[in-house]
Amino acid sequence: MPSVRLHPPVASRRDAQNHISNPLPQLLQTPSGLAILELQGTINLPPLVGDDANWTNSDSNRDGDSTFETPIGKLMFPDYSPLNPDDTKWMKRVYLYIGKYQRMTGEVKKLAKPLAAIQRRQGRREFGLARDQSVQVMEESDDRDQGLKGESSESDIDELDIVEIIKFKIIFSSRPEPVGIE
Amino acid sequence: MSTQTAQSIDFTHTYPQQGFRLLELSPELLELLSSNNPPALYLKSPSSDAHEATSEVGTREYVNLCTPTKTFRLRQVHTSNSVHIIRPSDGSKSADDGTYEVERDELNLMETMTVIAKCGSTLEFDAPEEGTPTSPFLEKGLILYDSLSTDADVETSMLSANLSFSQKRRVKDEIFGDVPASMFQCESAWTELCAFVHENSSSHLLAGFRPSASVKLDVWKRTLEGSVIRAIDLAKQFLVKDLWNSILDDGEDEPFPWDLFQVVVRRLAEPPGQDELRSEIEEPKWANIDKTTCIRWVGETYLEAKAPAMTSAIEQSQFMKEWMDLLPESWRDDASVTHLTEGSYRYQNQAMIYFISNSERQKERKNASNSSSNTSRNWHERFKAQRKQ
Repeated sequence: MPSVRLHPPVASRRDAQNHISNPLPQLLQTPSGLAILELQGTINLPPLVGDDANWTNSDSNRDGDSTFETPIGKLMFPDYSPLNPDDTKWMKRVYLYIGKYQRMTGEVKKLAKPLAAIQRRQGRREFGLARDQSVQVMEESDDRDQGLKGESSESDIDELDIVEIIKFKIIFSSRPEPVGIE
Repeated sequence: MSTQTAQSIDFTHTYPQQGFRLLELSPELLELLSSNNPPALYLKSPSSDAHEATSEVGTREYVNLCTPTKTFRLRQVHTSNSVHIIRPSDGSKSADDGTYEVERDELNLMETMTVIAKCGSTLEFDAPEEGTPTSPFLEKGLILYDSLSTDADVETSMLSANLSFSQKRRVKDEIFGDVPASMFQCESAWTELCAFVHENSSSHLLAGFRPSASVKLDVWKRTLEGSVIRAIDLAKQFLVKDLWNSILDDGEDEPFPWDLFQVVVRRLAEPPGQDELRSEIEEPKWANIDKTTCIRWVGETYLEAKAPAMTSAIEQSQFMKEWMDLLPESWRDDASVTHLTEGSYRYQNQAMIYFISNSERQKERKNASNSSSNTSRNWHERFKAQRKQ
């Protein structure tokens, strides 16, 4: 099997993703916005087909494929205050509401070993820098042989990016408990 | 409960989900990736037929993570929990549209985190791969070169000196692609085997070759003779081209490819600085032969060529004499069995000696470590056997 190139995180690329303000506490924010949420059990989503009313948003103008978000509930850091970010007591309590009547209580934990989030190298549109780098790869191969050129552009498929290094996670290890109507 | 102080974040699930893998980072790797100019890493697995080559019984498919200099075995660890990757979303659009002109006002709008991926497993590190040697994998990608051009079946074309650096590089990269080890380890193994790029006489394509012990010995003999004729002191710096020309002195065709000569010189040369990747000094103009390396290599190569197995064991006195004759005059007296790599030779009776190849040594070491592996502190390893039953 051939080797697969795993590209290190690129600072400028990560900043480029930062259009959307990150609602998470400072500690959990990463340049790319990615974070890890772990829970015991699974989130059951309504079946895909059927009632359109289930989907709040459907944006179908993206190259024909539609991306939409299904609301699950709410995430809350009840003890967190942006005014006092150094105080870490808030990490002990996180709520995740599933629908309206179920709530899970979790916490924020520092990962013993940070995790690298790896993704297959995206096509052009996602990251500006991905393009630059593949150009570089092409240039390198230019002085080698013509035959290889075709290969290297195809080999983009076999390239991976470390898109983020994540050091904390939100973990819900207990069962959901019923809660009253807000 | 009060939501006045606590910020409430909408939590959604995005369809379609994206593919993500999580890789647990060791402190060393974290440091490497956080450095100013982090290198690209490689995920490498052996080619499917390489298992036989390494004689590793029972190894399944695996993936190694390679930094420029090191190799780590990865293992996939499944989690019973659901691990989700979430990221901010504006909650009203497709998440990665990337064209938001509106400055968002954090106070007025409900903010959203959305699940974009679920990871069922994490890639974790096993101990660094130091035990598995690189050379067996590399050998697999190389063609045995076992006779010099004077013999009929391997025809050396005169092209050898004209191969460009990038041509050779390409062949090497292709071969290294199937070797589950870091670039540095590949390069080291390449030099260790005295491998070289050359035109394959049957297909006329460039390929990687590894010389047999007797070819290496011949190359060395000619080199030594050349150095004597031209009075080149191998222990001091010499021009590699000068030494090469001394071999060509008698006006014949190249007795063997220039690249083979060069790699043998590199194999025996004073090692370069630790930090330098060998590839960067691939074609040194100057070199000087390292005495200790040379004495050991010549001895082992001779033994491998003449007494590769117990049945072909040779007398030690004869071996010592031949060995000395193959060394530069001033080093003769330093030939001693104690200079050979530990385990690389064995005696039959008292006076007969023969060679133990690297792969055999490896096998024996493995057997030895297997018997002690019950005391392994790695729980995964300890339970693996039970799980299979």
